[in-house]
Amino acid sequence: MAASGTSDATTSTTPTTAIIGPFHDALHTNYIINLGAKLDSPTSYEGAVTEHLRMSGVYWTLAALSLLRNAEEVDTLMGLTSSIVGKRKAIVDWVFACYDPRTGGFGGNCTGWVSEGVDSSTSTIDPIPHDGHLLYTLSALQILAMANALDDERLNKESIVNFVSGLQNEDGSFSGDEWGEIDTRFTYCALSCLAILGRLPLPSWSSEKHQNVRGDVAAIDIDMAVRYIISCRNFDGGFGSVPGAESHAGQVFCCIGALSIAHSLHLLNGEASACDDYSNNVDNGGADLLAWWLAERQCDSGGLNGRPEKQADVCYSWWILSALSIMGRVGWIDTSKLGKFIMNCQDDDDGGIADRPCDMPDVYHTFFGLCGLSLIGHLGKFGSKEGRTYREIDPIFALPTDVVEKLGLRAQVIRNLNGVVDDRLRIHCILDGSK
Amino acid sequence: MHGQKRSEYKSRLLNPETSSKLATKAQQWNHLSHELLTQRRRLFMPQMQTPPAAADAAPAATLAGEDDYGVVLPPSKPSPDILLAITEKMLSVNPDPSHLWNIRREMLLYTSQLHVPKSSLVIQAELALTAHCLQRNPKSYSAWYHRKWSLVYSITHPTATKATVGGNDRDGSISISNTPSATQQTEDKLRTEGHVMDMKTILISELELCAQFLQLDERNFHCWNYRRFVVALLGSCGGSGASSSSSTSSSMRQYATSCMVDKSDWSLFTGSWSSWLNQSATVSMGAQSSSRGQKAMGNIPSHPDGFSIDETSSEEAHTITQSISALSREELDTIIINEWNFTTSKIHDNFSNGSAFHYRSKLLPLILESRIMASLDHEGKGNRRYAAILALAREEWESILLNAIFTEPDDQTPWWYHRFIVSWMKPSSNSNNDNDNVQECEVLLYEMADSLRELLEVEKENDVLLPLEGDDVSDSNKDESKGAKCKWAYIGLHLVLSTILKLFISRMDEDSVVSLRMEAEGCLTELITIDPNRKERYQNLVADI
Repeated sequence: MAASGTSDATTSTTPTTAIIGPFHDALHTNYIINLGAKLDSPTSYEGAVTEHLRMSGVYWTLAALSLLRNAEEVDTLMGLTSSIVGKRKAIVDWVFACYDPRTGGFGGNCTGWVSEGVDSSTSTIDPIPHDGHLLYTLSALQILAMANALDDERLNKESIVNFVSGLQNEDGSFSGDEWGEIDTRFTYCALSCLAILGRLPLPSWSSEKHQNVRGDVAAIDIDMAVRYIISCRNFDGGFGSVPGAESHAGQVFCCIGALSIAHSLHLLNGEASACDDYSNNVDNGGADLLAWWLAERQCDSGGLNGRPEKQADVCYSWWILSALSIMGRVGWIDTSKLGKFIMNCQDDDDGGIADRPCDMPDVYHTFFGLCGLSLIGHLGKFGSKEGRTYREIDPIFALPTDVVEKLGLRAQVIRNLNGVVDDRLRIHCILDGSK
Repeated sequence: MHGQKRSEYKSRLLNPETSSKLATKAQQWNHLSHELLTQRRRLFMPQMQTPPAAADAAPAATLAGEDDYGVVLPPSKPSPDILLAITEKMLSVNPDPSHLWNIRREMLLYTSQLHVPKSSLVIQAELALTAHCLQRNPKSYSAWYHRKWSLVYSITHPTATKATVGGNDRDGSISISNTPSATQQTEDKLRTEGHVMDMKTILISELELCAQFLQLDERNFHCWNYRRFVVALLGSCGGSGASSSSSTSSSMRQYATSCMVDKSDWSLFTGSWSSWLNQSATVSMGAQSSSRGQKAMGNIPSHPDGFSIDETSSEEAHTITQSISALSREELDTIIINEWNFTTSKIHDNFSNGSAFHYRSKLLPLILESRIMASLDHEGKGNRRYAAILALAREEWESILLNAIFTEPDDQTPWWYHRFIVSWMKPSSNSNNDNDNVQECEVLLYEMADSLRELLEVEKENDVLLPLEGDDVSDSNKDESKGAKCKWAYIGLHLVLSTILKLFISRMDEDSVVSLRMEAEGCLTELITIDPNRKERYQNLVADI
């Protein structure tokens, strides 16, 4: 047997392997802090083409910095809950300006938002939010969670719950917005939103107490939501965006994360015939087949790809490691080789992490690169070298573990084959057995 | 940023000419973005910006000069056409923002409610716009979705001939006309110029478009998903009642009502084939009504301030559903076999096409069903089914897999399909498979084992003859994911041997059991050495034996 505690990355498989460095704490912090002002500039091309997903961009920024700095520092450095004098109003205020009361969800951005320090006479209208969408509603709630602002009176929880529940379809799937696009990504968003709001019902097969649920009426049909996820499973053990769609590591995270939030990971080991097109009695391979498929995403470079025969990309450090953590099988890849790959993707001049070595960094890859380093336990070690205590990422909710703990969020993870559970996962419900 | 070389990107930004160009583009984008949202608000809240009387004016008055939209100035009065033009301009530059497509759909529905005749060409216009966007960015979720939406919308809202008067019309057809004479005119136009193609023809040309996109990128999963969606639509639209339709609008209407499409059938958007298996003779696409579903089709999301459109009549949707003529078994078979052959040719083009293998795995049960139906065998149903499974498994092994793994033994793609076939062909524990069939399963597994041993021999010889010089490992990006020599052959052999042991241990003598076990364990020992990244998993498997 391997000596490793699979998901207990701090006692990793390869203690002899020195951690390669250097880790550019100061550069990354600078990169993250200054990004917002760059994108805000009306002449920023990057800002223009990504304006529609700014809510997620802000979430990645805050979450990335949150792994490197404590909550108070993040608040001050980013102007999260109060304005940065002369520069910009508080991020939380902007988040609420992006709330779309027509749909009940948050939009990805708003127009007509006037920053402090800008002549307010140029604005003739109130800020107009983009249309509400599940993707941005989750990002907004994640930001508010990190800002400890979920009790802000501007947050209309009831409307958001109605928005989410109104997007569930009869087959259990979720549409991203009122126009109907369906994707398992949106299932993850819906379940995570409801969990954060304390309104997630648990499925009929769960033995957990329904402590999260307030009131009698369940916001969504959680049993159907879970069945729909299972119906997206494929011949290789992975999951796609809809039933019949090819497996993709990003989609695997969404499905495993949603199953974890719904306390339904045991269904991974169910009969395929009960949930899939195959009329024959196909063994679906359980968590082992999926974890193996994920492990085979590791390339010779140490990096992870999203599908067979594709190039490695730093973002899969998050999508794959989070899923492997939830399933207790991080040790099925070579974590030190992966760590080396992520380190090689740092920009040693200006900070930030790119998709691949020598590419241009962006905040998305910076955040997911840091997440990867956190999930294999390397980030903690860099922290102590820097004389700091870095926070850890929760592999299910994609928030710092202290935030998850404070919110009392409780999902489900699978105990690994050696019975070891990573410290960061102890707040969750532990499912025994590998098969 | 995906695939952007750092040094090139940074030096581009330092170039004053480039950076000023980009700055101009950014400013234009930001201007249009702001304009779009403010005009939309004005349109839906006219009382806030304009006198109420002006808001009632027909938007047709502002149609002139729509080609000049390159310079969009804030008009005195917002019009849906200007908003459509802005979305088109912005989406052609960047097709990702879903809220822009939302506004576009909102305006399309809005103008159709106002009975603007010129919008009858909407399906072609939307197909052209999305095609343009997808050529720019073939991975844009929102552009693919808008294409799906446009197709479903035109199927569920057929060119109507019924002359309903203004406010009573709840059909929401894009090309609806108010008066009988206009309808006649439209009909003539359709007949003579052939502007509107039969939906089935459109769908078939969509398959062609998919083939073209997959020629450019054979792994584009958006396009594969779209293909599956089109096939699902074809499956619901191909009823024989429609095949003889000419392109008059009355037969269009008839044709469209013969499509098994519920306005709120969400499975259409996911391209679900799940119900295809449950019906042996006919196909039903599951036309249950969903109250939630109706938001996306034909109804503009209601705005709080004075603008909302009547709900599409659910009775009408129901009527459409009821008058469906089902697709015959033969027609369905034709569609399925066409797709099956498509995957065969894609796989033969390149054995690394994991997307095609995946698609094939979804078709396999349908092909099986089709063969069982076609067979005239009158034996017990269970036997016939299992015999058909084994025959199909053998075909996949002999005509696809053997070729693939001997050609590219280090490519993991076909090996996942191999694992699936091995799992699929196992006799089910609870059914009464007869002895002949079970024996055929055993024979096939032993044949697989022999071929894999042979492959390992060949590979070992090659290794000796052509020692690795390192050039093929480090040079191309593709090889990065290949892994060590023979790795997958060992994995495959281990799978086959452990399957034999699991299934047939009771019929084997002790010596064979011991020797197969040793061989299977030997595969794992070898794997631990040649694939150390994943040694923990192999060690777990050793413990299992």
